[in-house]
Amino acid sequence: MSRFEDARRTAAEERAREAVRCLPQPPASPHFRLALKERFVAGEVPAAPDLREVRPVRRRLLGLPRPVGIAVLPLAAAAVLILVLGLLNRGPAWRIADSTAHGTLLVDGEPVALDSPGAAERVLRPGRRIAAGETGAVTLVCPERLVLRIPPGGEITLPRPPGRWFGRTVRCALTRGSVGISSGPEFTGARLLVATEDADVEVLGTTLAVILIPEGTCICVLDGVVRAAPKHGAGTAVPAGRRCTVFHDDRPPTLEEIDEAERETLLRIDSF
Amino acid sequence: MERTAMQEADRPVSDSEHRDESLPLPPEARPFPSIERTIVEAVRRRESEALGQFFEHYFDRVFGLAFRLLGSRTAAEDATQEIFFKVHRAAHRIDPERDPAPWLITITLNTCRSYWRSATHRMSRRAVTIDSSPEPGPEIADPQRNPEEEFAAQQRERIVQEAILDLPETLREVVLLRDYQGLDHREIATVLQIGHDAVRKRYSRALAELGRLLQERIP
Repeated sequence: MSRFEDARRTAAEERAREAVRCLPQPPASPHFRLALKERFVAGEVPAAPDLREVRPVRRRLLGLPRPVGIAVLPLAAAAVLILVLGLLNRGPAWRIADSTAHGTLLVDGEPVALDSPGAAERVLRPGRRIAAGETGAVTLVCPERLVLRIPPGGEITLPRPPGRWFGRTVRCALTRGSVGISSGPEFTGARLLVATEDADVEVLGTTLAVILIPEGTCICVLDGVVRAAPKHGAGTAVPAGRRCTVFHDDRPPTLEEIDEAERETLLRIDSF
Repeated sequence: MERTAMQEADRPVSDSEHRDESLPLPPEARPFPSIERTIVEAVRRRESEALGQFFEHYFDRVFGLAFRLLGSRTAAEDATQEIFFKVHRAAHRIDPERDPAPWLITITLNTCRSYWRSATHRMSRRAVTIDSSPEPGPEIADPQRNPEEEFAAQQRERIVQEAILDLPETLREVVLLRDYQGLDHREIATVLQIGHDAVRKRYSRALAELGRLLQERIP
């Protein structure tokens, strides 16, 4: 310690230091001193304690020290609960309707044979582009929830099946041609959002077709109510039996009666 | 060139200043005495005579430090016994090239720290009253002091020891090693395995706190 530091000591600190320095050497018990010396010299020294025996067993929780385990346990339980709910919430997987199980399907542009539906269904993953082959329309079914009928020339991105309790809003995009949509009894409370280049179509439980036409997007509704909106405009409710056309340009959407051909197509979709 | 206060504080401290030549230690200061190398070599071989010499050489310092750290004769005896048992078990590993004192001090500190952490010690500290602790030394009358002076000295020792025990353990260690055992900051840094600056800071805090406690308790 430098002289400088000494000069900075307060009077109380100096007193304290002096008090410690003046503490006397505590004399040990002569009996204790002698006994210990005898043992030390004779080597009568017990073996080092096995700390695994003397230390209390530290109880562990979740493989962690108990306090950490207690803090982590609610998180772990929540994670398990979320995982279980997530698994239970998942809707059924997409499958191919038997009646259309022939020909080929295009998945992300790659042909997949429909004669072995199991093999084809393995590639039906949400987000993939699905298009019907030249041989005919293909109908995809999410049991009790949605039916998607893709005629030749049509291509959509496959939506995720709506969940049982949450994740009830699902999205897909119509990139080519047209798609027929029908909802099932388990679709109640769910939403399907179909996006085209010009329009956003919100499906709330109905049977409808979304068709890309040269002028824009046409939405034909058989049953229920659909809301269709241009990309940058207000939405229009399309009731059952009506057709709404959303244009590329600034023309406002139109609303007309659907014709018989469209009605027949929609009824076939509704029958799934 | 005249230095500012800041420059003076930052100036590297020389070896002589480490030993605080400006403030010579009083006779009561008790540095651990060095021991002959031949004795240490014989201790490594656990020769009885060397063990006895080693014991006599260090017992008072070990017991004294343990007593001041723990504040209890019973605890100090337990700790001292454990310390010498550890020394005996590890005797074959003593390095005769080095002074065993820092090693012995380290064992003493570690043993006392284990005692501090023990349930026994925590219970005994809670049960302490101002009248019962710390235990005074045996009643050995100093013929040069009259009974009143002797009593006053014992009371003062008790108050100082109590104040030391009220310090946080990290500060208690430093102030006892520095002012009771007479180690310099470098030796304390080696024993405690902390930096020199950390030793200085802890020592300053220890003195400040001890000064405050004693000011309250000693009129």
